[in-house]
Amino acid sequence: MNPMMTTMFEPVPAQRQSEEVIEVPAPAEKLSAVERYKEIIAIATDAAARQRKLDEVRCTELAERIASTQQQIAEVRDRERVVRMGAALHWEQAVEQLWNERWLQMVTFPAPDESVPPRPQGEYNHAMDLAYQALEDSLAKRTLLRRKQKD
Amino acid sequence: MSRRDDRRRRVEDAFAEFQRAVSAALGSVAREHRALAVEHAKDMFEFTVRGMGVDRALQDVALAQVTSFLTVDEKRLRNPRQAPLSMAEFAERLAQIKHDWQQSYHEWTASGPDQLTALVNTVAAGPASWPHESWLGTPGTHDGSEGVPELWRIGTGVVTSAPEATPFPVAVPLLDQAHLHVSSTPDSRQIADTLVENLLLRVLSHFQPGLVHVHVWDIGQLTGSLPGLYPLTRAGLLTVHDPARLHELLDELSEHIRQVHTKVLVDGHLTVRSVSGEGRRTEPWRIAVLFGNRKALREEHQQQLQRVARNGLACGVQLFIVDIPITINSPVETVSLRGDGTAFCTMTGKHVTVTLDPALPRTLVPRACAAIAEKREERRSRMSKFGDLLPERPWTENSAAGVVAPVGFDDGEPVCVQLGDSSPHALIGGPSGSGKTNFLYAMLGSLCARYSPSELELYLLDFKEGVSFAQFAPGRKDPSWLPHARLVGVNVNTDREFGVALLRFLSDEMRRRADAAKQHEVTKLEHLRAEDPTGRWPRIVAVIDEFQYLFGERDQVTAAATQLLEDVARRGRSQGIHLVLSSQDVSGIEGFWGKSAIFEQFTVRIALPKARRVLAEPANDAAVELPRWHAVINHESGVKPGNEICRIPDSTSKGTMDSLQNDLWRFEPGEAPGLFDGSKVPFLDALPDFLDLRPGDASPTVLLGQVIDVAGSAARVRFARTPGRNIAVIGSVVQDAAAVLGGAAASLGRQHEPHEAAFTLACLVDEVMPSALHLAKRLSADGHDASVIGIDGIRELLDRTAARLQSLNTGTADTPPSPHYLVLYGVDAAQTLLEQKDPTTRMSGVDSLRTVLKHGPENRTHVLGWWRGVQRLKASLPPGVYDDIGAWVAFDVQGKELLSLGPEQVMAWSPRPRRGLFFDRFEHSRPQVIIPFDTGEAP
Repeated sequence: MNPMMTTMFEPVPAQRQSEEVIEVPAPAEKLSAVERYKEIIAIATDAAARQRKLDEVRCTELAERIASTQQQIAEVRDRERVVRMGAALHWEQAVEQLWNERWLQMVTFPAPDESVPPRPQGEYNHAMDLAYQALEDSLAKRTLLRRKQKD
Repeated sequence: MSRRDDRRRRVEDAFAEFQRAVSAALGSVAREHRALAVEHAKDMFEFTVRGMGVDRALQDVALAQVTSFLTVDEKRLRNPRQAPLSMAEFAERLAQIKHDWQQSYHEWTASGPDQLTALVNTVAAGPASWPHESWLGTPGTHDGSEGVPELWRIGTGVVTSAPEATPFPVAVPLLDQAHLHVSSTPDSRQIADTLVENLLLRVLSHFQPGLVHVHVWDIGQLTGSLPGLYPLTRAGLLTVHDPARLHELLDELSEHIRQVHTKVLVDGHLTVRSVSGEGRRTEPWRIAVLFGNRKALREEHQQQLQRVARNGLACGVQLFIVDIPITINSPVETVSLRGDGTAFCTMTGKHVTVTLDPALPRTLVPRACAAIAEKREERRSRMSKFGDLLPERPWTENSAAGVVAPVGFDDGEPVCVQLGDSSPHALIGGPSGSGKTNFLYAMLGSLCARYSPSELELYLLDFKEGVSFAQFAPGRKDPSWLPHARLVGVNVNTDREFGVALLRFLSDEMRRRADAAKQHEVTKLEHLRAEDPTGRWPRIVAVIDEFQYLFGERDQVTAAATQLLEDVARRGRSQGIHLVLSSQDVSGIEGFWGKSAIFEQFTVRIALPKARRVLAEPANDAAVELPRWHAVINHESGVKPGNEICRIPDSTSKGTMDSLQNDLWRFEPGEAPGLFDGSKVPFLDALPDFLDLRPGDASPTVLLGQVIDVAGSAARVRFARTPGRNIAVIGSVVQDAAAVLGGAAASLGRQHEPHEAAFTLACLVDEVMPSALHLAKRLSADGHDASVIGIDGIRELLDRTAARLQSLNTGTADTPPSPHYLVLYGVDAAQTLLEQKDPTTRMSGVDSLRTVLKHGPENRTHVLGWWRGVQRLKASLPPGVYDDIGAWVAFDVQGKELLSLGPEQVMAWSPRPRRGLFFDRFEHSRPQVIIPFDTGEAP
């Protein structure tokens, strides 16, 4: 509060006309040391309360984010499982088809390459399908030829 | 190459491409998964840290350290587990959290601890907060006049939730402000004891030894708690109470509070602190330390303790309650100790962890207490002298609310007498030799040194034949007087009328004050002084020593005195008029034990050794056991709990009261007090009333003697030109008669121009001749015609005067009547002579005398005659008609004989030396006692 306020306004309107002395409230008495001490301590208490409030607000926000992230993780985990399943399926088939190609040095199931540029997963899935198709095609031509020869 | 090779190459390429596509598809989704997981982990981390509170999170073992069972996981040997707080992934979030934290606590970190340190240093300097090295072992010097430390240090605090753990002092308010409640666990009880001991030593070392008394009660043990303080017991500063007798301690504290309320907290003060004001603490603090066992006290103790807690602070009673569950309805600060030795307290709240100060060195505590006890003993055993009763600077106190002054010492502590609205009057008792005069001197000295004459006036009356108050008036050896004394009456003895006169004066003054108060629409002197700050309204203390004389007989004087005393005693309190009555033997005064209403007003009772009936006997027999030079001061009408026993310093020997009086007199003498000395004859030529007489009044005033009143005024008769203005002096003693007639004639002489009046002095008794000649000489010296005749000339004088009066009455006289005064000494001696009849006229001298008495006054001829008996006077007057004698003064004549000459009150008169009974039938309703003048005649 502006300390000037007390001097600018009469706290009690002068209404009483008798000889009774109108008591103007004395300016706020000097704080006792105990009050002053507790006042200073209150700075820390306020700070703690402020910090707690801040933390609470942030925690609420985080809780929401965590929930939504968990949802996304669940989704991506499903997606990942589907991709893995698709890849495994293709791989199994490819290995089966390549079984006869004795000359081919077989390799283990490819490790995920996370360095690929970020693109929609569908494109990569599609590319995988195409690559499998291409592999299949590369194998199929010889069979076709041999059959032709036979014929 | 061959087609086969070509195909192989294509297959290889397609396979490689397929592998890449699988890797890419897997990698893309895995990366997305991982990114989400990392974000989730960060959020979880932040959530955990903030949810826990950053300050605690930083200390949290799971967050700050790597738990061992995870580190031995062999799979992780290459990639060891990191503590979440030190993981690089979370560094950013942690930094943000810490930044927020710093921001929140910015103000506190920047100034809080410093401000607290500065505050405690300011209000709790010295033993109240400093380390023990600077004070332990040195007894305190503060007496409360510099104020009381508002805070007392107990330890160091740290705000645990703050980013920076800057320590600051933790202190609690104590004395007059708040009680202290300590709760501990069995593990931390030792620390609670230390806290109490440290605080007690801080308080004990701050104040002068004696200003703080400690009471200890421990439910578990009698002498085990606070062992270091034991040396204090020998100086009476520490009282250890029996574990089974808590009620005794509580009773003692309650009684103390009650006494403070009735004795100290008067005149609107609510606390001892406000009574003491800026000055020395008048009432020592009592700190009661109660050690419990965490179980509630018995119900009645609980309630009594609550009452003590509620009312104690205002009365200087401080409680340290340790491990007693209790609800207290008054300011209290609580320190709660945890099992780990840290504490939190209500001064600092839950965010601050307090580490209490360590115990003081074991060896130094008993030594420090011994030093305090020794200092206390030294102070107590110091002979308290008269000088110790006096303030440093005289006349600084204000008497608006009452007067209070120390009169003696109890264990080196001053004991005060207080006269005010609540304790208006004092009764002092003690047989002769018990030190009553000494006590009065001590009290008056102490009062006069504190209050200036405009704050306090004294009226001092002593009926005893001693001269106890004589020194307060100017004397031959010592010209000084007590500036406060307005009236000093000594040797009053049988002049009980003077006591009545004083009471009447006080009663009138009381009425005057009440009227003034009424004009200002207030009722009390205190308020009148506030309303009329420029007026002079001192408190009046009237001391009547040996006042029992006043009520010694069953007569009108006693009746009048009783009535006036009742009036002043009842109503004087609010007008600032206080009576101090002292007596050898109060019990003998039948007159008032019947009137208990009067004595109820005398709430201050002071008993000197062996005094009877002053205190409320038989329950209060403190005076019986009282040693010499001691007194019981009791402000509660003499009931036992009000007793305060003190030693009265010697106040009568040289260099005490006399030198104080001299100092005060030099300082500001003021006007000398009026002196009434019953053993002295008033000197006519020094009497103001005589000196004021001037010629010019058609009805001159005759002064017959001095009336016994406060002003010391003269008894007067006005000689108007009306019948009956003659004066008769009745008695057998020449000296008395000559003094009255001499004074009367001299005063008349002063009111006439030279040769205006004629004085004829008839000396009918030989012994009176020297007085007559002395008077004649005096009158002649003033220029008057004064002739002295003997018995041989009396007949001729009376016949001539009678004849002249006859001629004046019949209108045959050729000159107007001029003043003629016939001063007849021993009229009855000429009775036989006068009874002889003139053979020619058949008239006797008695007839002529009767004519003169009858017709003289209206023709300015007055008789001032002396008859040696009432019957002899009557013989000179017409049978049964005595109204020609309008005024008379009787000496050694029984009251009964005077009945025919005056009102029935004369019956009570019994002759006493040098006192006469004066009655003027024209002016008085009752007779007055007078003292004849000393007219300067050689004895």
